[in-house]
Amino acid sequence: MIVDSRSIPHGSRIEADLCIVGAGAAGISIARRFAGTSTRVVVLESGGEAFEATTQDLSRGENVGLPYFPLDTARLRWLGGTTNHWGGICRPMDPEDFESKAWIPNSGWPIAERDLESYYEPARVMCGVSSGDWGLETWRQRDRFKPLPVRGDRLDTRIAQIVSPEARSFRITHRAGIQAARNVVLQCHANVTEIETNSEGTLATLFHVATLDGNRYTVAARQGVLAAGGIENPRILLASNRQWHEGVGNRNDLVGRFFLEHPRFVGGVLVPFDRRLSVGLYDHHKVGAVRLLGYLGLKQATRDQEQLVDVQMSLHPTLAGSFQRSAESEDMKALHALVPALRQGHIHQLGGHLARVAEDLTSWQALLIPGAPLPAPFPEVVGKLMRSTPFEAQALIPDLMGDIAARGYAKKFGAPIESILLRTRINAVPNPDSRVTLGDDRDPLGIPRVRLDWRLTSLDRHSVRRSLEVLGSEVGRAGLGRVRVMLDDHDGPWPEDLAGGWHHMGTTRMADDPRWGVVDRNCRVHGIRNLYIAGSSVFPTAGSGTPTLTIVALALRLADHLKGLLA
Amino acid sequence: MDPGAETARGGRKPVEIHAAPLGRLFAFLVDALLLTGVVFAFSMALDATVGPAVSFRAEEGGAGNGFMIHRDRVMLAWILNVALGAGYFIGSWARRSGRDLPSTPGQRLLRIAVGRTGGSRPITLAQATARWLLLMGPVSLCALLGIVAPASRAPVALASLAWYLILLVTTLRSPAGRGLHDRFSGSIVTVRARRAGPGSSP
Repeated sequence: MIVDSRSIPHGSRIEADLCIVGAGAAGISIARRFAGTSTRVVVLESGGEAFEATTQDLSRGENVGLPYFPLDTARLRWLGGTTNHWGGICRPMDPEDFESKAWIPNSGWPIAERDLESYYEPARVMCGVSSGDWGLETWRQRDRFKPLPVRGDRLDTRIAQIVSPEARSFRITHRAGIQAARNVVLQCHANVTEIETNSEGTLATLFHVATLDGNRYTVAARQGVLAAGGIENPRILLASNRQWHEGVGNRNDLVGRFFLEHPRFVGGVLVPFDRRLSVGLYDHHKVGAVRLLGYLGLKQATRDQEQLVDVQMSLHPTLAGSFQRSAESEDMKALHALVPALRQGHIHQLGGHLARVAEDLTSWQALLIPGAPLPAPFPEVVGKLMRSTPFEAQALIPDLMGDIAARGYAKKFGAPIESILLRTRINAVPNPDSRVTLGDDRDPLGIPRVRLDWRLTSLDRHSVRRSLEVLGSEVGRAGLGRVRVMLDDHDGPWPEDLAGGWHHMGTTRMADDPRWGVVDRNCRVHGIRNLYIAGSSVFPTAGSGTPTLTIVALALRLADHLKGLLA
Repeated sequence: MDPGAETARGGRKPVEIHAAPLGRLFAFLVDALLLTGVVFAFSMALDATVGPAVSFRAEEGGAGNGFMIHRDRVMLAWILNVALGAGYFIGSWARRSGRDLPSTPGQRLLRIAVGRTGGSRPITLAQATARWLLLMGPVSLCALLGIVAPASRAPVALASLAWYLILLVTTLRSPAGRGLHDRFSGSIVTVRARRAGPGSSP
């Protein structure tokens, strides 16, 4: 069931078997795994059932490292967490993502892919991913688009799946399951301000909860799970510094360190020799009901030989003139939005879309013979069109009609490509200096706001450059085109378009040795018998896939571990 | 009350078999095509005499996509074309010759005709004008506003679209196939009676 913590009596002490902090992908996955059991579960969610600016403001913080998104926009604080606006791109980690590499400092997981393998399937179902097939070969046969025809064995095409927009939000897809579970109480507007431990610091005894309207109470649970995200998890641990000045679980000064992202930027440009080079596989497309997205990377053997981290390269074609305009056309979007707006009864939106389409179509009116019962261009316009090349002619045709014609042409014959931007995404090197700490400012609950110092290494930079060079070499050998690498190998500034993937990882990393990790292989905080962490903050490395599926798989594995303890 | 429907059920007056909407639409398309062809030829003649309404020479000051509209010539074209269209439709519907109800060339092709309700007489000039205004007025108004007030084109085009949808719906819902333009002008579109041949039954 779902309750509002503002109505819980001030000063209460709530007893539970399991307390989960955070109702995002990880927290909800664990709670649903316990639904219908005899375990009393309390889930503490900072936000409500809808977006609230005052709650969201609690995420505000300071960026002092590489340029990064404003922290209050990089995650969401309400039921469902950041699944309320994620891109839905899913891919499990590859077996080699778990391996330690001698040339990558701090790499390797204490668990292997086989430890998670059986959890990826239920995780796929939880996330709403259509198919359990991730291999290129299956899709090669079914997909109308084919991988880039490069020879040699240095390049890989990998397939990710995209969850359909309506199935992405855990708030929408799992709310009913939580609401119906009698043993699960999800408390909205419940912010954890401190984790209290016993005097030895070996047992988490109380979760202190505060609401923005001043209510305060505590939750005592046999087991606790922090599942508040890759920035909030270390924040809560570090801010629990009343008993332990370094915070909870931070005896080795590792909480908040090793902050990882999937840094992304345009690292190069591929200019194809054939303007109709097929790269549709590397764009969002559908095979039956399954939404797919391909990207390129170097094969593991090549990476090992070259001593590189994995760099994924996605292809973004820039189409020739009018075709690019058609691909980005606001008028086409308005036209596409007409039917859904009509179906959903959004009359005000319908009016806007209709007006836009009408405005565009009537722009053509200036070239039509006035007073003719059917739209007929002036004779001189007809003459001009007949003398023009298709590109010149398109300048005379109104946007919408031109866009429709361009799209039709592109669908039938393929759109001519000017160039292909190569957006690189790095499986970045774990770096202890890239970290989350507490800042000087405090939020309205009195908790210090976070300070993020995001950093990358020279190996990250070298890996991008070298991966693009290998791609260029393979593309050149295959006679497909030429690649211009736009990143130098010196320690200069990173490209201006450097951004993350809204993936916060590594800040409570997993390691068997407490000197190297905050949690052990079962996600238990080293030194504390009943405190666990779920989510991507436990990832020791970022991995080549996107994190959500692995977050959920790890959460389900943790849930099964806790079930054994709580039985 | 739909007077056309009443007449169709009446016993004493001659029975009018109203024309099917699809046939009427097709007839209109034939007329529109014919008239557009004539208008296009007319525009070519205007080009030759008073000069083109649109020019593409950059030195003439064309901006953006490189064409320039000569508003005076476009206005002249509008006046002439509207007059041409009015003459075509009003002339066809109000014509009085022989025993048959009058019709446009497109309607004649589809064997339908326009007459007054309650009888088999042609409509008057005033009725024909009203019918033309209700049918072609919005298109002509849109074209005029496109010349004198381009900013108003989109809302007027939307209003016109709404008007034509109303005409379509009222025509389809009327038992006698009389849309608002028929009701306001007191007209009905009927199937042309086949002439009785020698030896046929009376």
